[in-house]
Amino acid sequence: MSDYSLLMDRNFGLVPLQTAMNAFLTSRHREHWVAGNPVVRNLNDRFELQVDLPGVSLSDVQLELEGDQLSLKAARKQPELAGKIEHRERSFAAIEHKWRLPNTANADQITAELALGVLTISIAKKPTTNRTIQVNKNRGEQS
Amino acid sequence: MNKRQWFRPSADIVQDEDKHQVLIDLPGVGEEELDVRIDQNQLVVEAIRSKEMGYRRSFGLPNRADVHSIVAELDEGVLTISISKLKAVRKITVHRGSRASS
Repeated sequence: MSDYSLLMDRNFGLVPLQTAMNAFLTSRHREHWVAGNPVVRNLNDRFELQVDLPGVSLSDVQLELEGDQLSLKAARKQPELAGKIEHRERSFAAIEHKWRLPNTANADQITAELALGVLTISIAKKPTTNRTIQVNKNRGEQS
Repeated sequence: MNKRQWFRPSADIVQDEDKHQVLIDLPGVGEEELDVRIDQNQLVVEAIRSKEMGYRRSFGLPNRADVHSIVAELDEGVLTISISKLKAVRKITVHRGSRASS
């Protein structure tokens, strides 16, 4: 099993923060699909979260950041169907996910977009700072 | 090369007096990546979401389905297919004749 299996969350319940964080840190440039589950991508300049929200209106999506914890709540309204229901598979349960952002995430630069029933959350990464540490020559001082 | 994985999307089926309706969750699919067709009395839905992933499902059509009046609509990742029912009773007009045949 790939490390993405950590994200398996068939009931749209809470993703344990620690697990999600591990997934954040271990997923690298790979796409993975488990129908209905969030996908986490670790890209060069950002993290990308994708959550399937078919039939969910923009006004029913709530995304919040509290400290380093990002939480998503979405309600899927069940439209009134005319007639007799013959067969039912689609879920109309409330959707809730929580993720803890890794240290490398820039919490000030998070954008979210809902299109074609998919919510895409982009979290910019902090620019990596390369600092050269000078190594000084030992001047012969003995302790 | 990546081989596309096919998933079975969730679907609801409802019917009223005039029509059957199939509602399918197809998040991430655009209209141009969607194929709905009738193939050997099966309603076939194929949708491509990405290079890696697609949705595929087929439904048997009931006898009274009017395959010539199928309407499909994709909205916010939900596909709604409406299939009219053929009228079970067809009225045949009786004309007044000028005489009775012997």
